[in-house]
Amino acid sequence: MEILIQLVFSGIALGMIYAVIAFGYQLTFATSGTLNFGQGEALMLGALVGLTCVDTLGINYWLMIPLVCLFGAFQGSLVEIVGVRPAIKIKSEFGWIMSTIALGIIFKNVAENVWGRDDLRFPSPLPDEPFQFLGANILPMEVLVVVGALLMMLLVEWFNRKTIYGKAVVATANDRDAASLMGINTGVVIMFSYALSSVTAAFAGVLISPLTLTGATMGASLGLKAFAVAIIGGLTSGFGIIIGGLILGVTETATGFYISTGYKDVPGLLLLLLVLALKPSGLFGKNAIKKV
Amino acid sequence: MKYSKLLLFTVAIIALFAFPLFVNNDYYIHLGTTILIYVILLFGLDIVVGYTGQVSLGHAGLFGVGAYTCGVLFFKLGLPFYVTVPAAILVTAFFGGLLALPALKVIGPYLAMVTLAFGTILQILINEMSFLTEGPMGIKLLKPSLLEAEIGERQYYWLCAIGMLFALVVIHRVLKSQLGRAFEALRDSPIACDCMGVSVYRYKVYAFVISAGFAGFAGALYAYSEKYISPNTYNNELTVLFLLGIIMGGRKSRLGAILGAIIIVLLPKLLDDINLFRMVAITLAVLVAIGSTLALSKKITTVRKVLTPLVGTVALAVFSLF
Repeated sequence: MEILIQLVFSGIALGMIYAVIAFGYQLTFATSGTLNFGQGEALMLGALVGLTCVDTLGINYWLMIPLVCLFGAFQGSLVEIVGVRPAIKIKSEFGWIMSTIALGIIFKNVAENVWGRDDLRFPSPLPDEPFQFLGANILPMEVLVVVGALLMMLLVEWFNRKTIYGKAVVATANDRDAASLMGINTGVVIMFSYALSSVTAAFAGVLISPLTLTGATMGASLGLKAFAVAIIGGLTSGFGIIIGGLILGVTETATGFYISTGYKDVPGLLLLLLVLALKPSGLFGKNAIKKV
Repeated sequence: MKYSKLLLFTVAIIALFAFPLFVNNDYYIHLGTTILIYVILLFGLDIVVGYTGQVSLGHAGLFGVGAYTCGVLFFKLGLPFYVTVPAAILVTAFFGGLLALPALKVIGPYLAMVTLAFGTILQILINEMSFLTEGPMGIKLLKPSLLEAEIGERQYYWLCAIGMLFALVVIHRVLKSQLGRAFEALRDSPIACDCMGVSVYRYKVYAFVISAGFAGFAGALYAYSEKYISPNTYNNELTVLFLLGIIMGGRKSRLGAILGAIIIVLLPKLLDDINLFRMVAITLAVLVAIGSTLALSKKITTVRKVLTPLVGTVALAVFSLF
């Protein structure tokens, strides 16, 4: 029983990371109907840039976070300008899928050249001593991950609901053509949503890396599983991705413990295939009604 | 018109079979074999991507299933070539059917992700099921032997050439039949398709199964060609490479698939050589720069339009110098 509680707690921390990345998918999907398939690489770049700031430049962990977010915004805008905008313009069916995947591969190779192929250790800003809670050992960093992830999502939600710029984002998400007719520069809004989604990914990267190792290959499976979370929870439901993230995180740590760590990616992906086969709009998503 | 086409076709076939006679280097013949194998796979991928208009990122996984079916049957049971290859086609076609089940309900980004997840699961399974696939160790194979005679690189090239021509005939007949017409109709309008009594469901399954069969065939040939298979070969980058081949070569065209395969096999090999890469990158940058200056001076385009390719190629040229 104690082991199970332990697994659940580690799963929650992991699941919140998935939820944050999935949240990034939702942001761009809402405004433009496209996704950044290189979201995992955005996370990886954020983590590695953060590592350089902390290790080489000697910047404090907390001061480094805004820098990494700035870098994430820049990287997201780049992806939008180079990969997504041309594809949206010609209304290509899957041009943006290819170009974002290609950009992801390029980012990965660049990272391999700059930071090397080995996994690096990320110094933890909080003490490494776990504390006891309900008979399970919890790292302070895991608490930070959960709190930080929730804070990030709440901040973006607050921005969308309360500020005038956020309303432009919501308007574009509801109806891009109508928003454009009302004088909203939808191109800028889409670019902004890409920047924001990369910011969340980079932020997730610096949150998770003290718990795991940092390296050029850390992003690929995280990005894929976060997409599974986005699908399981529904691409339109903010509440759904948190639940989806928790489900996936816990099943994954449990599989890693009870079956084999090699299989730990499989249950999430199987869950994804299952949800898509039974309820394609996700567990919490609304069914889109397609007019003919 | 018809005769000239036939003549061209005959010349192409003769050139295809005569290629290894003029090349003495085994390495180049091996590259030719790889191209032929990729052509077979791209034929199959074209059914899904070009004709039914679905994006599939799971084909590297299917390719791997074909290779591993072949490898496992050879390694564990010692079965000969003419048993393992058909078995690989059947098993992979079955997996293609499995992929079609979740893929039927979804479109666009969902489909891309489902197929990507499917491919990843296949790769993980190949890696983890060590009792069957020897895991990360990989499997060693021998080139098939026909009629007690050992087959060399050159003979294997001819075998693959025959396989490719066979695939070409099959795909041509399939796409010219009512199946091919149904695939195209399905891409243009699934709803109209259903209304006219062409089941979208059934034909999507057919498309995936046939496409997977080709991937299995290619995978089996690839296993014998490389003589060694390991799970890491069949990763997501290979999938992207396949899609790139289809898109660069041109969709809905046999010639496009052949061209695409040539590009994706030869281009990385050419660019491996740093001097050649520098030359290509700098020439490209200069050409684009001259082209855009000319176009700008004649006021054909605007600065914005030429900026992206110009910056891209110049950045590539600068990058190549490091």
